[in-house]
Amino acid sequence: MAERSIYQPGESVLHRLNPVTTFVLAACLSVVVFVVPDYRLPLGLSIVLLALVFVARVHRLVLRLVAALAIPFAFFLLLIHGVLNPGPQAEPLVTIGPVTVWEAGFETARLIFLRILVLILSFLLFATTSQPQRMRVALMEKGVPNKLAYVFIASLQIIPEMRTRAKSIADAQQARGLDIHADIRTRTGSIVALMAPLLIGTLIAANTRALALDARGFDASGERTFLYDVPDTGGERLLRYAAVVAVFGALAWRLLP
Amino acid sequence: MSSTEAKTTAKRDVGFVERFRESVGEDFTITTWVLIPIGIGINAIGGFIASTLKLPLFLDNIGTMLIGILAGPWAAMLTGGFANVIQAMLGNPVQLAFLPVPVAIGFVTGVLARRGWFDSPKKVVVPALVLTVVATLIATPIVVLVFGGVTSSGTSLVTATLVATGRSLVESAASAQLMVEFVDKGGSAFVAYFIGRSVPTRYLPPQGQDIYS
Repeated sequence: MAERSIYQPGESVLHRLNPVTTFVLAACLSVVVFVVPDYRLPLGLSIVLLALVFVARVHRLVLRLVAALAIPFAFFLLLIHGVLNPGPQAEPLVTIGPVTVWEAGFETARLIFLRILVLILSFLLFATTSQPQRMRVALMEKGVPNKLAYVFIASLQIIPEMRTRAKSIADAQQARGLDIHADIRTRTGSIVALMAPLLIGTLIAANTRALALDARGFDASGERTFLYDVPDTGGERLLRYAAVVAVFGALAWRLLP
Repeated sequence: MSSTEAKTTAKRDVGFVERFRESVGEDFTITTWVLIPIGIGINAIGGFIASTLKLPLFLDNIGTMLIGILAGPWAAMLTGGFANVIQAMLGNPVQLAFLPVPVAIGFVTGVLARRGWFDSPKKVVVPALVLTVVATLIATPIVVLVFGGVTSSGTSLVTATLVATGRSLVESAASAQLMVEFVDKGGSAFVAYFIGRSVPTRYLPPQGQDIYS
């Protein structure tokens, strides 16, 4: 059974990194850009991250997802901050017909947009280059309880399964007369008609799963051995510490007078 | 303070921590561990159901609420938090910033369920309102501070309209959030209650069997 995250198989440097490292880096970068109130930092980081997206050869998927997430976001930011909310010192930046973009608002929008772009890029990079099974092993080697690791992997497995099941349930219920073009009250009531069979079906499958887990020693304690070997080099450890130090450095710089 | 006194206080603290840990541990039976991924799956499917029925809702916390009703606050917090991380792994990292919202929803649903507020459809009105308020209170600061008031297109449209009428950004974002959460979280609470009720009780963990018996 395959886990379907947005992982893209590959051989790049980023694919070889320990998934814990990429995750820590993504989280720390995202925090740092929100602490530092200067748009040039997230701008620089976005360029570096974009370059890494191409290095990892995950650009086709990542750029498509970034476009889907960032374009509407940029539009509303510009609308709410740049056009509608000119702020106290209203200096017009550009005027196109009846629409004026204000300078202060544009600067706010630019900073927020670049911060979110760093967040999106770094986590997409993490998700596309970290194979779920490797991540599970890496997490357990870091002392994450195997039950949490199970939840993580099982969720990734169960979502595509449930999606297929939900589609066939939707078809089946429509064949029985469920009307997806009815008025809004009827449609709201139909949520339960679609979700209940999905839940019951999955629960019955889950009972089997619980038995299987029990048989495989889910509750067993003691040392486990893994099929995969996920290396964690000293350099990577250093990189992680550096990222955490950067977060505290940024916080101290921001908070101390 | 004498040393014996200090010792008794220390002992009482340990007792409290132990009891807390035990009560959390009791919630996590093997059924619960198997239910959590299902809850996460239901969260992920909510959006699909909403779009099939062409409803303007997210419905992305039904699974978290369901686990709250069936297995209690701790399991539901875990479900909510994990669901968020999983969404990021599936291509929507923006949700990560909202991590505290589903965690709080899980906790509140679980506590209310334990206090008997999910015993009958009429009572669910209370959790529906409480969850709306909790979600708004936690989501609004995140929306304003992290996203500059902008989230999904629908909510942003409401925010933009309110800003255009001269209201402040915080006020507009909070009102837009409240409207969206009222429909979405309020509706989700009822959906979670009804789909939980449709499951044969023998498939439910102890708390769920209590509530739906």
